[in-house]
Amino acid sequence: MLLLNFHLGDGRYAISGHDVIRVLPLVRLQKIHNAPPLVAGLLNYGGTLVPVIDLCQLLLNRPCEAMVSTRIIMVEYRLPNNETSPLGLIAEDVTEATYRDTSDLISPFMSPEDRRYLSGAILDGEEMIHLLDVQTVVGEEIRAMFHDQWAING
Amino acid sequence: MATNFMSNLTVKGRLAGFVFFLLFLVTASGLGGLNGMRIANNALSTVYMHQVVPLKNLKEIEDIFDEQIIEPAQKALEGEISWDVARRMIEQAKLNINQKWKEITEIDSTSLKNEAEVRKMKGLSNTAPLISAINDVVARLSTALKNQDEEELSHLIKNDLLPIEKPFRHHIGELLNASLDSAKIEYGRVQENYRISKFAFIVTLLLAIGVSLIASLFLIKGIDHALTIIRDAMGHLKNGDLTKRIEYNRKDEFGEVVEGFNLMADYLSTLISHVQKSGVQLASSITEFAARTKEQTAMINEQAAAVNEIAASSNEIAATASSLKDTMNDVLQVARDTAQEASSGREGLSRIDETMGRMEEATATIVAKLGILSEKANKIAGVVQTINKVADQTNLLSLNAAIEAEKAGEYGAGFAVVATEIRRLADQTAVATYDIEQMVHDVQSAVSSGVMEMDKFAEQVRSSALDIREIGTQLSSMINKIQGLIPDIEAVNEGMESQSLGAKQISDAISHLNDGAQKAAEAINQINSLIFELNKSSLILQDEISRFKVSQ
Repeated sequence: MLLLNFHLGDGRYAISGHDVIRVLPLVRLQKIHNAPPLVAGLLNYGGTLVPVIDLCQLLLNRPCEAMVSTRIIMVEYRLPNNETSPLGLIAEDVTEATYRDTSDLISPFMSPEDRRYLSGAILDGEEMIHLLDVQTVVGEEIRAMFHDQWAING
Repeated sequence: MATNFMSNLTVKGRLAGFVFFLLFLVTASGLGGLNGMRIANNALSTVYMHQVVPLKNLKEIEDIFDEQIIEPAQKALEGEISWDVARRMIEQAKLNINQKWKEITEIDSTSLKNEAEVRKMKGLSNTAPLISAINDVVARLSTALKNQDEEELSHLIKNDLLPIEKPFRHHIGELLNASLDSAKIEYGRVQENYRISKFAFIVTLLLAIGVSLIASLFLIKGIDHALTIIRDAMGHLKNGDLTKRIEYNRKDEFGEVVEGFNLMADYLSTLISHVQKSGVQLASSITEFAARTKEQTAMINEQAAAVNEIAASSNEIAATASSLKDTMNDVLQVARDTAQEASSGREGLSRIDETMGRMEEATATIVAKLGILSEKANKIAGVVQTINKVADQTNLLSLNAAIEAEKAGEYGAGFAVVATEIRRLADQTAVATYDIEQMVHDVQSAVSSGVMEMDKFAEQVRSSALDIREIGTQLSSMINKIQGLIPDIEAVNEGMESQSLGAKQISDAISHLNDGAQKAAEAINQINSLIFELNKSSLILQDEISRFKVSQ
């Protein structure tokens, strides 16, 4: 399986290549007033306004650093009605894609909170790469916030 | 009262009074004589004017009448002279008679009041009609002569002219007598005046002689009295008796002399008593003086010793001054050497200054070169950034390619390998550019720190150059000062020489002083012998003074 690797602070993370539509450079986003900090803004993606979530805000309570390697990962987000909609995720150091076997997956000790959006981990030498579940990374409140948006897009 | 007044008169006053009184008497007698002479002179002129002149005129009138009227008339009648000549003679005679008569009557003799004068006035009034008759006859004679009337002429002579002749002569004779009498009376009066004047003069003369005799006697007596008293007092004074004083009550010149004498005696008395006291004091002073002289001798001996010490000291000063002079010569040499060293140092400094200038230029060049280096590095950075961007894009492209290959499944496996290779290349490029970036960054920071260092260095060079210039100026001023010091040192040297000379002169002077001190000692010895003589003289003086008797 293909894994798209990235960093959030010092921690190494990855998401499955199946969920990824494209990797885009960090462009200027349209701001949404009075939105929570983890919502970075809206991205015009081929004529469609796509919400973009800052993963650093989600895990580290700080925005991602504006570097060349900080990029937007466009993923397929499954809506409750089983339809899919694109969703932007900002992460740091999005420069690598690796092929791993599914058997390499382990279930390390996780807090219930982490377990909500982490689906497992892979060992890479001494270090550990956490696998992020795209479908659970967005909580109920965000989903409610973009319900109408996605309804229109859908 | 009169005696008191006389005693108070000064001798001068008395003499003046006496002389004035005599002068008054002489003046009075002179004035009396003068008055008598004046009276005599007046009488004489009166006699001449009032008696002698009329006498002469009367006599002439009588003569004119006889010779110039009667005679020509008779001669004309007898034909001895011409009628015309006779007429002119007669008319001339008439004019002459009238003239003379007028002179007589014009004399005013009313001041002479004697009986002869009264007769004379009476005679004049009696004669006056005869003069008119003469005038009348002459007029008729003249007419007859003019007409050459012989009958008339002889008639006139016989009846008119000759009858007048006798009374006319009579009256003239009376007038003559009266005038003579008047003159006699005037003479008598003058004689009387002369007698009175003579008497008054003799009396005045006798009075003057008598008064002067008496006054002279009184004056001589007064002066002799005063002189006797004064001479007596002088005799006492001559014998050394200063107690005698003169008593003189009059307030004249002798009174002043006596007062002066008494004052002099007082002063002398005081003086002599003072001299007596002074003699005693002198004796004691001389004794004291002798003691002092002994002390002085001792002092002079001490002084001589001190002078010898001073001489030794001044010799030492001379020696010290000459050694100081040598030292100053050394100092002078050192100062000259220092000035020379400083000069060469200044030259070296100016060379350093030049070098510094060149260093500043070189520094500027280096900074410029560093600037170029920095620019180049910046360009490299730009290129590296571009490469970096390309690498980044390549990385992004390879990621998306890998994702697309995954989605293609089995068909995309080859493509996935290529994507992975491309990504590895991009990563290597990124790493390489990172290294280059790092190196460029290092170069840039090195250049900028180099520029900073160079700036600092240039600043230091500049401040060093300034310091060197400062030092150069200071050295120059030091050289000037040292060179300025050289004349001072030379002056000090001269001063030392003159000081040495002065010390030698002092030494000479002190040896003279020593001689002087010896002479002073000799002089003191002489003074000692003089004091002995003085003592003797003082004793004699006291003995002499004791001769005077002084009221205590």
